[in-house]
Amino acid sequence: MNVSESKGYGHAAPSTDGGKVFCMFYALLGIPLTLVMFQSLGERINTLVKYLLHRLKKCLGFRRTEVSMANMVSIGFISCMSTLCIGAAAFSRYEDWSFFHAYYYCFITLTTIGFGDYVALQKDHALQNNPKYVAFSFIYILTGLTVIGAFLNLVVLRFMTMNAEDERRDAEQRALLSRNGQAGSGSGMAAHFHYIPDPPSSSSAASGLGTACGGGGGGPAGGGGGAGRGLRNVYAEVLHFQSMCSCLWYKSREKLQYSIPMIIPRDLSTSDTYVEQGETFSAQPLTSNGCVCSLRHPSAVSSVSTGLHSLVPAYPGHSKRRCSI
Amino acid sequence: MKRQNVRTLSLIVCTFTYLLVGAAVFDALESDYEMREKEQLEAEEKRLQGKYNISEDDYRKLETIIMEAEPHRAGVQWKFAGSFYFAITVITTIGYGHAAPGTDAGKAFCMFYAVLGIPLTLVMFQSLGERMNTFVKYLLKRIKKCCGMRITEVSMENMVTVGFFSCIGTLCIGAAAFSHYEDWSFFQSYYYCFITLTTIGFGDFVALQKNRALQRKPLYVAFSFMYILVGLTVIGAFLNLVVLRFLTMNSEDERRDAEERASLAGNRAGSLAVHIQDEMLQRGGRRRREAHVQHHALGRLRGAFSNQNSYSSQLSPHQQYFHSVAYRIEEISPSTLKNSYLPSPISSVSPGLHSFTDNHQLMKRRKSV
Repeated sequence: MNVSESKGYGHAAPSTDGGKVFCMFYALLGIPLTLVMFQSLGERINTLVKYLLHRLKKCLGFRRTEVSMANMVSIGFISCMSTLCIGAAAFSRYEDWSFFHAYYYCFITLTTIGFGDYVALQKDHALQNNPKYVAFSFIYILTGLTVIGAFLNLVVLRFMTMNAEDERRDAEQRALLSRNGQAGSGSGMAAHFHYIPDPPSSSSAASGLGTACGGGGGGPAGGGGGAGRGLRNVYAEVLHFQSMCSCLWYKSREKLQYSIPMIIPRDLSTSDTYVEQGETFSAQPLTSNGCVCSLRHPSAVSSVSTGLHSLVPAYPGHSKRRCSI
Repeated sequence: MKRQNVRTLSLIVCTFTYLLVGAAVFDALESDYEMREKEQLEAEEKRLQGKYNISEDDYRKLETIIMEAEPHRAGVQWKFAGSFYFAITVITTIGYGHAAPGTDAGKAFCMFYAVLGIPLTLVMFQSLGERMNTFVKYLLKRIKKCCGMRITEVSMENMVTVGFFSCIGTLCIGAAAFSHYEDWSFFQSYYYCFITLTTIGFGDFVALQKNRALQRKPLYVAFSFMYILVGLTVIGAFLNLVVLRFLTMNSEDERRDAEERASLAGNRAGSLAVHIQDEMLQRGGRRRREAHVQHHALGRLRGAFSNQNSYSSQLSPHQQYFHSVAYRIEEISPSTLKNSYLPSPISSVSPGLHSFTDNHQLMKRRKSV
């Protein structure tokens, strides 16, 4: 168990060579499996807590029943602290450690550091003689890791995917720019749009987001002649709106949730990506509507923004990250 | 049951099964050895006690002294070099335990240090790993071009292969180095590198513990630290490539479901968008139909929104999540948004476009897991 959680107390480590070899293969498969399992379970727990909190807010008659990130983080933090305290109380009793030492043990265990200076189930042959305590220890460790995992899923996981998403977005923009340079009106964007059926090697929804965004940047709707591009035929008319919409894609979903009326005037100038592409747009004959960033069609944009905002389902922190880092 | 719940439950079942299997195998492999070792130790204990006439208590004391003296024999553990080594084992969660804080203040600081350090390190290694992957992808593309290959795109298989070989290479380099410096066998060194770089860190083998290396061999110390950090980056890059996407799966499915629910709350514009997307999805040999739909749809777009509920029936269940994308506004604040923004035709169409692309990619992932 300690290997697959990469917690490695070392109180018992394989002595035989066969044990060491099996240990390595066991870890190779077990660690990713366990990582994914804990994150999966943690996400389910977060969803449940969010739902419960939402219901609680409704019951208590709050005006705003939306559960904010701050709520979730506080609850997560308090759960972690309580988990540690419960474990500390239990182990200090069973293992005859002081509360502080037991707390230290729980912390080192649940962060998977696992020094091994304190290890449970090592006194009085507890592993053989005290099955209930053994069961409690195992359940505690797994539950505790789930709680910590849920908290990490809430707070840290988004940062781990940041680079990859920025990279995808950059790739989309590069592709868009190069296609715009080659193809001129309409086809560039549609061609880029047709990128969808030919997915990149990294299969992620973000590329779809980037694609549509890049498609938006291409702008012009004049390309009606794309016989070879089925998608283009369908969306040619509305694609010029896409260019206006694109800037707004970088709006944070959370911000939108609470400040929609304020978004429109601000959003029109926040897209740093389209600042870069401004000259590309102006070079396009059909971008008479212009990029939204140039504030030429505020009313169209206002409706588009909400529509566009809805286009950012999976990456809430997308624009926030760009703007703030 | 919801996809995320099924996924989570199956993962839990898999993990428990894996634990049971591991327990059985380790038992089979190690139990006998452990019993034999124990018997040998007890025999030695009796012999020594008999030879030197040591009482039971004294012998226990001797045992404790010897165990506690071990880290000291390995050298000074808490001077700067040793503490740096310790800090590495904390924030990377390797946690050998060869040196653990003895004072309560040290323990307390260790906990606060870890709370901030572990997430920082996780994000740092993933960030650096992603940069490395991008760089490798670029290099590989250039190599493919230089070699005159027809397809210069770097596929996932290429990346995984390169990543895997980098990991093996890193482990072998470390094994060679540590087996030379620490006088371990190659296998033991490889095992040490593996246990270290997967951050398990048993502590049965720990580098820099012989001949007071921490104080006397600064070059070797520097090499060890660099090796651990670089090795963790390589492993982190591989994990970033292969495992990270699975960690976010549930959240993305959840988001998509939330949007579905929001849209299913009933929005006429949504149906229109769905209709368009519905048609959009039927590719391959349906150009005429698409063109028809295009005019049809655009005509409707230009017109005022009318109730499109009739289209809902045309939706096949698995496509319903498309129109959900367009209707996040419903979820946000229906009262303020509905009337002011929905009338625009664009709001339904452009999300439709995006949601098509978005969901196409999402669909791909849905199919593969």
